[in-house]
Amino acid sequence: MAMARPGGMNRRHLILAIGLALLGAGEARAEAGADLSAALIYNIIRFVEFPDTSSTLRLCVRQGDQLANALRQLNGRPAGRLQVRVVTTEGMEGLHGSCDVVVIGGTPAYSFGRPAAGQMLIGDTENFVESGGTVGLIRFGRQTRFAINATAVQRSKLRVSSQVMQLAAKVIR
Amino acid sequence: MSFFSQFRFGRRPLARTAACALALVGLIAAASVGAQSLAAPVPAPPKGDNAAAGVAPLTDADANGENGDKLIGMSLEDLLAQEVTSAAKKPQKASDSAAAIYVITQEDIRRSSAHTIPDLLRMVPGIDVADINNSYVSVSARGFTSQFAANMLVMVDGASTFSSSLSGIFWDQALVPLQDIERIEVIRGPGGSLWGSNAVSGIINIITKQSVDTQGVRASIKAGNRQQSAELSFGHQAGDNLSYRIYGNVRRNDGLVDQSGNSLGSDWLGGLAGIRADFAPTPNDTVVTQAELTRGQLHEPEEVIRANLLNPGYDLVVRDNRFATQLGLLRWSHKASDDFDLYFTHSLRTDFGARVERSMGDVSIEAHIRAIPTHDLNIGVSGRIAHDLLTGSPVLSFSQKSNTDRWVTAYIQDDISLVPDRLRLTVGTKVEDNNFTGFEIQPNARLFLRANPRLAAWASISRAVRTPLLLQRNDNYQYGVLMPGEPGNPAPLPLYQVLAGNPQSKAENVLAYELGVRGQISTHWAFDFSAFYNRYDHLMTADLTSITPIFIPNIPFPVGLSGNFTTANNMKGHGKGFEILLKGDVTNWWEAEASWSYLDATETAYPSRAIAVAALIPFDATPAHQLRLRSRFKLSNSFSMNADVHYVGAVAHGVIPAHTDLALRAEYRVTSGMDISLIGNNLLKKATAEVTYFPQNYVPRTVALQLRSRF
Repeated sequence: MAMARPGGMNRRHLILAIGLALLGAGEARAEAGADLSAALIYNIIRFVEFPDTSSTLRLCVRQGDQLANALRQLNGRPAGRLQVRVVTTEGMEGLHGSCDVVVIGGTPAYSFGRPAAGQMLIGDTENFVESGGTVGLIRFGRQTRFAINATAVQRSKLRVSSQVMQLAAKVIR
Repeated sequence: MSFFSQFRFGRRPLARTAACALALVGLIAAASVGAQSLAAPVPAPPKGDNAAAGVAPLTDADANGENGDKLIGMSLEDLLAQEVTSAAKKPQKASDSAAAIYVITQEDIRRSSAHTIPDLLRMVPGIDVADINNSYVSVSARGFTSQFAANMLVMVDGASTFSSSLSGIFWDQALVPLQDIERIEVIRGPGGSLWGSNAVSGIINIITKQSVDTQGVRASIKAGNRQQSAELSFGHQAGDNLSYRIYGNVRRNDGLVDQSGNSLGSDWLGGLAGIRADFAPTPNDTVVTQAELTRGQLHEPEEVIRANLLNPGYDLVVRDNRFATQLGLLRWSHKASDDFDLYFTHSLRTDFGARVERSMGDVSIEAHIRAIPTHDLNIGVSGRIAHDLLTGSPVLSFSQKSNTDRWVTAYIQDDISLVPDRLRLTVGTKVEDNNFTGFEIQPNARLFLRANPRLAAWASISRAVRTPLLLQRNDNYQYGVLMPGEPGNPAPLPLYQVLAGNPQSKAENVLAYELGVRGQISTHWAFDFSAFYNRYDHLMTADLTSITPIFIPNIPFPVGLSGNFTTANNMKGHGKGFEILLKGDVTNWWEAEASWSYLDATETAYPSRAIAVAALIPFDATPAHQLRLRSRFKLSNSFSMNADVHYVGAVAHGVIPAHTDLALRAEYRVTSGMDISLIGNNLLKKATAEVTYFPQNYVPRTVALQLRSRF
C-alpha cells in the first residue's frame, strides 16, 4: 500500500489517513485469517475418509459467510482420492442437502442440528464441538487452532487420521 | 577421554574450495537472477515442507498479503507452527534458512522409539549422540564428542539451558515430557552471532507446545525390560485469551551395562512437575509464565584412584548422585518477534562426589524492525549472572569455594533483500563481555538464493567462540593413574594424572565456512546437502607441565610420579565434511529418509614449553561416518511400523568399533484417542559401546510396551 507524505496534509487529513490505513489493515488481517482458516479446513478434510463413494467432496458454505471467499479457492483441489467441489447456498436450509462438509462459520452448531451420516460440520463459535459440531476452529490471541468431537466423527461414520487427531488442540469424546 | 591422543594434521585443498563457497553462491545468484524470466512456474508446494529442512511458522499477520494458494499448499503441522525458528530468531520457513537446519516434528516424536530427548536427536543427520555413562550423554555436531565439550547450545523455547559449571548441559536433567514437545529445531554449524557463546558446533532448540494446544488429559505409560516412564498432563482453555497446562513425568532406568549385557549396578530415577500458562491480552501480545521442578537420583559406577599408593590402581565405587532444579520463566512476546524474557533457575548437582549449587538469572529483550522493505533488522541485548557454591571431593576439588560469572551481550543482524524472494544477504554480529574471557565478537555473513521454487542454495562465513567451563577454570581433578608400561607411561612407576583448571583459560574460536543446497527432486522426494570447513584456534588442551616424584612417610624412595597437567589453549585444528539427506515416499505406504554424514577433523599443537600437549576433547572421539535409514510403513488405518537403521563409524582409533543399531516400533491404534506400541532399541547387539570410559559402559538392548491415551 503506497503511503502519502504527511507534509502536505493538515492534522485532520492525517488522522483520517491513519484511520483509513488502520481500517485497511484490519480488513487485510480478517482476509488473512479467513485464508488461514480455509487452509486449515482443507488440510483437515484431506486426511478424513468419507463414506460417500462418489469422486466429489461437496463442501458447502453460505454465500454471506466470512469464509466463503477463502473457501472458493479450494474448488477443484484434491482431497485424498476425492476432488473438492465448493457449493455456496443462500441460507442454512441448502446446507443440509448432499453436502459432505458443511462450514457454518459463526453460527452455533445447535442451529444446524446433528450432522448426517458421512457429513462433517465445521464452525468457529465458542464451544462449537461441545454443542455437536465435528470440527471447531479456535482463536487464541492471533492464532488459529482446531478442536475435534471424536463422538461426532464416529457417529457420522468418518475416519480422521491419527496425525490430525494428534494436532488438534482439543479432542472431546 | 585420552590425554595422549595422537596428533594428526593434514593440509587439503578442500580448504580453498570451502573458502570459495560464498563466491560460488554469488555466481549462481547472478546466473539465476539473469535467468529470472525463464524460471519455472510455481508448482504446488510439496507435502510437508518440513520434510528435509524444517517448518514454516505462520501467523495471520505473516499471511497478510500472501495468497491463499500458498497457505493451502502447506502441511497442517506447518500451518499450526507459530514460533520463531532458531536460524534467524524470527518466523522463517526452515527451507528458506541459510543454515544447515533439521526439524524433528511432532509426528517424528510420536512415531519414534526414543525414550529421551538425546535418543530423539539420534535421527538428525550429522549429530553424534553417545551414551557415556549412566548420567552423561554427549550430543555433538561436527566433532567434540564429550560431556565437557559445551559446544552445542541447547535451549528450551529459546531459553538457554547452558550450564557453564561441570558440563555444557546435563542431558539427564532435560526431562521435558516428549508428548509436550511441538518440535525440535537442530542447526549444525555456528550460531554465535544470534545466540552467543558456546553455539560453536550447533544449536538445539526444544520448542514445547503452547498450553492451548494440549487441552484435556494426555497420558503415556512405558514399561520395558530396563526402562519405565509415565507422562501425564492436563490442559484447559479458560477463555479466549488464557490457557494453562499442568504436567509432569517420572522416568527410571537400569542404566548402562557391561560388555556381556550385565548390569553395572547403576540406576537412574527422576521426574519433573510444572505448570505453564499462556495469556494473550491482545491479538499481538502473548505472555507465557512457567514454573518447573526437577528431581533425580542415580547410582553411578566410577573407577576411583585407590588411596593406598602402595597398591596403585582403581577401586570401583558406585556413587550416589543427585540433582534438583527449580525454574521460573516469564516471557512477553509482541507480534511473535519482539520478546522480553526473564528466567531464573536454581540447580543442585552432585558428581564425582563433589557438589555444585548454582543460581542463575537471565534477562533479554529483542526487537524486530522493518523500517524499509529491503531491510529486516533484528536487535537484542541480554544479561546473565550465575553464582556457584562448590563443595569438592577427593577426586574433584575446587580452588575457590564460590564463583560468580557475568555476561552482557548485544546483537544486531540485518536481512537484506537483494532481489525480492530470490536473493538475501544476512549480516550481523554478537558482542559479549564476560568476567572470565573478556570481550568476544561473533560475526557472520550468510547468502541465500532461491534459484527457483524447487531449488535453493546458501553459503555462510561465521566466527563463534566457546568459553571454558568453570570446571576448566577452577578445579583440581584426580583424573587417573597409568601403570608402568601402559601407553603414555614409559616410567617404571605409576603415573598419577592430575588436571588443574586454569583461570587464564581463553575462549576457543572457530572460523566456519558453510555451503548448502536443498530442493525437490520430484513431487515425492526432497534432498538437503550441506558442506563445511571449520578452522579452530586456541583449542583447549591438557598440558603436562611437570612430573614430580611422590613420596610417602617411612618409604625412602618414590612410590609414584605425579603428572601435573594444566588446562591451556595450545592447539589449533580444522574439520571438514558434509551431511546429505534424501527423504520421500517410496510407495503410498512407505516413507523413507536416508542420510550420510562425514567428518574429517584433526588437531595439532602450537609450539609450547609443556612436556606434552593433548587435546582436552580430541576429534577422534567422533565417528567419521554415520549412515541412517529411517522407514515408516503405514500398513493399515490402525497399524504402522517404523524401522530405523543407524551405522556409526569407529572412534578412538578403533578402540570403539563401528556398529549398527536397529530400532523398531510397531503401533496399533486401538481407538482415535488410544494407541499401543511395542518398541525395541539396539536390537542387533546385546550391548554396544559408544565412547571410551572407565569403567567401559555399553548401551543395552531394550524392549518396551507403550500405551498412550488422550481424553
